[in-house]
Amino acid sequence: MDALTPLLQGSRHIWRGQHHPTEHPSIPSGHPALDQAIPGGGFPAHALSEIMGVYGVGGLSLCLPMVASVSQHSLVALINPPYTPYAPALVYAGVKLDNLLLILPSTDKDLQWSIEQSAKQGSASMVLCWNPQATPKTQRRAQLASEQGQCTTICFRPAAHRHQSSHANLRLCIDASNTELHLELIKAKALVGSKHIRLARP
Amino acid sequence: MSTHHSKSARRKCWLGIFTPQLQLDQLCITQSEMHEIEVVIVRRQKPSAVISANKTALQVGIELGQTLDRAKAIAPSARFIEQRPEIEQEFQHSIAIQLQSMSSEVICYDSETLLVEIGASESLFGGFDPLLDKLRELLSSLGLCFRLGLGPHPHASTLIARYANTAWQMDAKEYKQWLEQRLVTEVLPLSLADSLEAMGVHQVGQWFALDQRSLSRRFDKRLLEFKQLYLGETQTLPTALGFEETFSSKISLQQSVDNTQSLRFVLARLINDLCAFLRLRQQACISCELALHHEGRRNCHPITRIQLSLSEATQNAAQLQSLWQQRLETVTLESPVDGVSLDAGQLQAYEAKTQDLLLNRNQQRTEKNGLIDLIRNRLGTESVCTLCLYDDHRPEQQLETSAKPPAYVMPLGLQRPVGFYPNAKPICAPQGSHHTEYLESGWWLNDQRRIYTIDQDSNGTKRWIYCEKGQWFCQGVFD
Repeated sequence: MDALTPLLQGSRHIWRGQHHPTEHPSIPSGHPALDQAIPGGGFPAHALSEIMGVYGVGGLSLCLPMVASVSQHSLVALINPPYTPYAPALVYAGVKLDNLLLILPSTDKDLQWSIEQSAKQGSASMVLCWNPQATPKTQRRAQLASEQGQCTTICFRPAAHRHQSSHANLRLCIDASNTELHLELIKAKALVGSKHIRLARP
Repeated sequence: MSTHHSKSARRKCWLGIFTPQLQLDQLCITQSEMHEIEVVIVRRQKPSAVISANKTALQVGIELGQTLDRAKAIAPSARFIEQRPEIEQEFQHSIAIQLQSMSSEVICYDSETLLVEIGASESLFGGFDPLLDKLRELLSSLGLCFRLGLGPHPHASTLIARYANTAWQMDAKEYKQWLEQRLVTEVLPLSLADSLEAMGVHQVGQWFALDQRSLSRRFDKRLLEFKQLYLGETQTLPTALGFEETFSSKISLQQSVDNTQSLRFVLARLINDLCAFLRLRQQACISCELALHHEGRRNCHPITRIQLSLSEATQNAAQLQSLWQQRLETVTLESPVDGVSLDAGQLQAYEAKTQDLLLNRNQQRTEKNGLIDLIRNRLGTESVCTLCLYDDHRPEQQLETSAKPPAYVMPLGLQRPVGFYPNAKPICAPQGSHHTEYLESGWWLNDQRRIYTIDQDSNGTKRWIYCEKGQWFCQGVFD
């Protein structure tokens, strides 16, 4: 067992129950309550995370502090957003537009290719993609590409996909009321069960 | 090296490069599978004979000079390809362009031999030996089978490269001794050699010992010209390859291909040629065009032209190869291709990148451009854009999705949606709304006036809406 322990600790591909993966870097979400709930203290860096819910209820706003922080020094790619990201609002949130790239693929095949290439190429430090046709296979490729390109990838998916299996390191479900965002953390390294978090709506 | 070269560094020193199987080399480079099967190049003129064969074919018993029928009997499964001088010429030209990186004077001496003046480049490479090492390295990297020859004059160098088996560099005395032992059939055209052989003259030494004037009168005056040529008494040389302003290169395929995947070796070859061309001129390309020539002379499919444009001029072969590979994956060939040409469009002065320990602004820009180029060349120009702010009261005029720099960043403090619909979506009248804001354009711009409010739909989405002429529109969402 003594010989096994360092092997288990050395590999980040082995998740151990209730063991906090402190060696894995994370990016604070900008919402202390959420960071506290996620084992590791934030969105896993260089990995794929998923936010599932109806598009428009607050997924992008939830990520804006992270986008603002990352865009100060490196490139952030937004792929296939269901609307045009509005420059005045992004600047207001502190996002540096110079480091923001908008990618608009016209077909699903191109979308999957764009996500993988943007994450893998190493130019972008963060990729935010809206991927309604994601499958376990495409998510696996995105996860590997994120690791390879050291890119933090956040994928917005419809709420109906929450029961689909996924290779994402972190999975969140999002819903909103008038004043609050309801988040349900359904998958994370060292997470047991699920966690519910409430955040004030911006 | 022989001392006569180093002592007279300023004197021209011509190196002969003999490439006996250009067509075979080109085939093996552009079609990798050719290494594994028996490939034989046969002379076009009758009687057909083997002029070159790859290692696999030689191992099964094919020999150079063998008749086609005999070769077919020995290796019936071999691929027999007819010699095509135009392919050899194209390939030799591309080799000559690469060699220009080592010498300012490169001559295509004949269809199988190149002449390179290396005397002037000696000091640049730190001596003859490092220069020759580099040259050998370059030729090997091109996948060439070659022999070098260095003699007291250019014609001697070509002869040594072509016929000398052991010593490849000779001074004047060694060269004369070596030449006199050669057979006349080796160094003279067949008709002239036959005339001499009929007289019982078999070696060059015997030929040189004869009275040349009477020989010329009796047989052919070309005999005297050949003697003068081989002894270096004739100074005339073919014209050296010029320094072309633009890059355009074509590779004719010896077997047509019907998918773009098979073109990757040809493309890699063309890109290497292009980058050598650019490096030599301290230039970089910002766009290039690939032309795919389809097989068939009459009623054939028109040439397929594929463009590649870059955000930043480059001379990096790996970058170009990666971009072209992605670009070609989206192309479907409607007809088999038997030739590929690459043209570098606009060329720009190359700006060398400085290397920093920390990621600097230029490096960030280059990385961003790399991703933009990758996506644009695969998905189209419209598929990638950046966001910019413009000073305008009208929300739809405040952003621009283009690569242009922002004109003006307006002071902000108002609540704005992160998701915006430039063409507002018509919606049903909202139940309740708040945060009213009045926006209007100048009277000179259609005099638009809108009252914006925020509401929330049944899904919980906060919307930025306005009413115009009784119809409600959603301009954005607070995602």
